[in-house]
Amino acid sequence: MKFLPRKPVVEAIFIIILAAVLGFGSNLFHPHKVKISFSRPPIEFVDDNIPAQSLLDVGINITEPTEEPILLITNQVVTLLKMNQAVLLDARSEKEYRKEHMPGARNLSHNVLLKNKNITETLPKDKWLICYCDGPGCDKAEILAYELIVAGYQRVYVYRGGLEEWKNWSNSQTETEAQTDAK
Amino acid sequence: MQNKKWDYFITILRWLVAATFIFAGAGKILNPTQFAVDIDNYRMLPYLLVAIMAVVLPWLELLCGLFLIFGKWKNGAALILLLLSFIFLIAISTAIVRELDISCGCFAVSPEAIKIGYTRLVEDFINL
Repeated sequence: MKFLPRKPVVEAIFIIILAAVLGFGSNLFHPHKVKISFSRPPIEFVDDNIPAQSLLDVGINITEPTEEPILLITNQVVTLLKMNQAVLLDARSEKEYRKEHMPGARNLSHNVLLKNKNITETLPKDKWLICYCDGPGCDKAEILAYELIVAGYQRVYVYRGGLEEWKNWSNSQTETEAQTDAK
Repeated sequence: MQNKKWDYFITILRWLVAATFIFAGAGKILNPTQFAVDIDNYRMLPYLLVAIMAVVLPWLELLCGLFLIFGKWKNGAALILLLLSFIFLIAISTAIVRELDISCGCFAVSPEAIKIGYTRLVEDFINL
């Protein structure tokens, strides 16, 4: 390493080692500790195998406000929609919403909510509010969900798969139907 | 006299950079899980590296900031911060190019945190 003086490099290595010791050490006792593993921790707060009808039995007590939005998977979203128990909220911009959105979804972006807090009064309190955006890499749905919880809504959910997973699911349904018709 | 003024200027600049990284590091230390989600959203690293970064990086920022302020090992700390700023610059640039709609993960770590965008990019250039 001729282009760098030796001293700063040695110092940097010591600082990195010190940071690693402090980081891993504090992580052992941290209330929000990170799980060090090769695989991602599951993102669903709710067990995948639990049907949507039973969600109330797994820790979602509607008499007490939830502190964090519950993440739902596609089959739970589908069931809730079929039961007519949920309202879909598209958390993206109006432009994106106009381009495409999930069937029956209402558009409510975080920015619109910030400008007009009264807009939440138009949302039903007796139904589950399911927020979604583009897909797992987008966090607009979670931002909106937190705002709704702050606004007093107690049944706020996030469909983390969003439009991306919904389209995959719709396509798979269409293919299954086509195969059934062919038979 | 001219040299003394220059020294003061450099010291103040060093403290400013140090304060920025101490602030950034401390916020992330409070919630490493959320910081791991923020890093993961960039979709650049395997999860193991994401987890290691979420645990070590905040402490690295904090320590470098402290070392810069107290003047001990300041060259080593400055070297690390230079490399970090460069890495952040690349990460933010690629996220903008890939049109990822994610939180920056630069300072506060929460879904309400500042979104990624050109402002973040300029800030990182200034840091660099």
